[in-house]
Amino acid sequence: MTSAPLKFECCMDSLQNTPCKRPPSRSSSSSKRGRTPGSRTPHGDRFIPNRSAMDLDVSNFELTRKHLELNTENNDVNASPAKEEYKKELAQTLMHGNPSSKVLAFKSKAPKPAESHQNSLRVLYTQNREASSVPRKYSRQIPQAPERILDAPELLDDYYLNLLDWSSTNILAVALGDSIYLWNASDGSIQQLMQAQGENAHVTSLSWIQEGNHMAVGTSDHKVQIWDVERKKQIRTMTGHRGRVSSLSWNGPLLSSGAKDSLVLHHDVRVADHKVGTLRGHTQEVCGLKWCPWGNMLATGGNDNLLNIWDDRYSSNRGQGSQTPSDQPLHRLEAHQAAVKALAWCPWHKNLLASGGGTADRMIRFWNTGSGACLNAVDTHSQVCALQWSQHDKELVSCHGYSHNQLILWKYPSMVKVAELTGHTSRVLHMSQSPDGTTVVTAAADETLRFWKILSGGDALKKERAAAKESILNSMSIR
Amino acid sequence: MAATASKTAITLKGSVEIVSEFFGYSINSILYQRGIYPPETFKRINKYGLAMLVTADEGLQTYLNSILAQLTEWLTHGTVQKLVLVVAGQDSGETLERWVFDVQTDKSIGENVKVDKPEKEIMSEIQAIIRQITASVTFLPLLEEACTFDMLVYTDDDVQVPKAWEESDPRYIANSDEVRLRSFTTKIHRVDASVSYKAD
Repeated sequence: MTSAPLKFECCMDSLQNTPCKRPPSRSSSSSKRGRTPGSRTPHGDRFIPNRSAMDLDVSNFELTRKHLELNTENNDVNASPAKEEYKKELAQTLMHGNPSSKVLAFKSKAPKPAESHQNSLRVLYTQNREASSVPRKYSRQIPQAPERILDAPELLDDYYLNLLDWSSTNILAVALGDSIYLWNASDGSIQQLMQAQGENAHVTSLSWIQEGNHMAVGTSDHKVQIWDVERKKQIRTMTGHRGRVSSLSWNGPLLSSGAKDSLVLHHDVRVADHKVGTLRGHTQEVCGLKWCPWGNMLATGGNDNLLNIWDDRYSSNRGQGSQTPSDQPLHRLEAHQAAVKALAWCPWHKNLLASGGGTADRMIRFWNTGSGACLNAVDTHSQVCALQWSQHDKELVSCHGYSHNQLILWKYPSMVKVAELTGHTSRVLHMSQSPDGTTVVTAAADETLRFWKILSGGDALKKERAAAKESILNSMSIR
Repeated sequence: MAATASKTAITLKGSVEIVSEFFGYSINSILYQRGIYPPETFKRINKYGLAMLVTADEGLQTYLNSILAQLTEWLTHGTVQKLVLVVAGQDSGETLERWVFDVQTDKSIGENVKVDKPEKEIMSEIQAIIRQITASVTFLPLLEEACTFDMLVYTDDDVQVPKAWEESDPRYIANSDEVRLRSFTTKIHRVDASVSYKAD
């Protein structure tokens, strides 16, 4: 150790006289040594470079030696500094900056990890990322009162029917007695679509096709009708049931209907011989019927307290003969103690079904339809008439009968009650959701329809709002 | 190791043993901590007063052992400058991480000379490095794709290249950040550890 000022001078010297024959890798690594790793990770106070790792003595020695070498070399090389520069350049390009070492690699390569292996750290990283980048979800205001109330005279007070559906084109259809009325949610106009013919005939179920241009209508005289809504014209009538048709569900061009004769029929509405399958899994009226959004599973609920899950085996039946009945459901779930009418497939989680039981049961149950396992069960203390999942949040709405006739908004999977909404004065029979997912409409035995704007519109709505805000700012800045 | 635990002096042979053993454990640690191989293929053993995870996969064990055997030989001759563990994408082949162990050998110490350094002290230095490797998950970016690894050894220029080895390019990472880890020394060998990774 010489005196400190001398050391400093040496440093300066060797920096100014650039032709330096030190292996540049060392110089680069020593420059990196000075770097605080903390600059990269501002919170990483764990990685303070330790001065013991820097080895000041070696550095000092290296620097002084270079200086001495330089001095001796300068005597004879002074004449051609360009040559020295060239040498250095050449060495750097050819030897990758480290002329005195060989880089050797082992010829045989490391065995590859198993194909299916995924980095298990992914969970850790994604958890952190979400926690840091996404701000905490704000709790939104949930209005306690309905946004709008419409009269629904002559709405049948019958638990087993399905009389309300909101189309993807924003038209709400409701069956009042023997007629179907269409309420256009965009402009508020009301039209009558049809009136059931015959004495005492009434509409017992209705369902929009996904595209929103046709509607299936089930009637008390055992028929299933298909209506073209734009032209207000009946396209076809399909028979096959021997009881009133109380539930309908579309799966693409395939319409399934459940009736009081305990059968579920599959109709292919495109072909003349429309009946493509029969499911005999129930012994009483089929009042709940829902295809899952992925189209590969059908849930049926009956007055015999059964909930059946069917896969799409009807398609294989079609080849062997269209009339082959199938009576083996994928899962036969007997947990409910009353009629199962309320069914809802989770829109974001495949194979998750929510089902609700009638007066004697009062439970909402969640099923893994792949395995048939009951994932959760919640006692609601009231008849469960209908269920709807939120499209954007992990939430669920249920509507109930006696004694409060309320709607309940649940968080899933915690099943914490977010809100309980009362207003209806009689049991809330039917529920449907607007195409934008913000509003649910309920039809109750008190002959009213109520619109509840209790769900969040998701990202689309937020973006819209943000865009609106931005445009205001833009117009402000122009002025 | 228990027999040598109380030793306070080390020979060259002992030092080489310590260093190559350290390489073995740190490579295993990196492979486990960075999720390059499935965690269920590792078994837990006690070493350096820590619970270390060591691969139980036979293919990988043989691979590492053959590398370490060669490395031991080079260490004995003092010709190793660096050991580099390169983590690269399996399909892209792009280098994502480079774990560098700089080795400095004091060549003035002969075969039979003993240097004074308590084994315990060395162990605690090694322990600190291993701990840092474990903690590295907190700042290293996630390896998105399936990865594989490669070992590079920087040797002196005059070393004969063994049959199983070949000259390689250093596989630097363009635009990288470097974090220096701790170092340990046996007074014969000094090992500096660092890791560099893609900066963006």
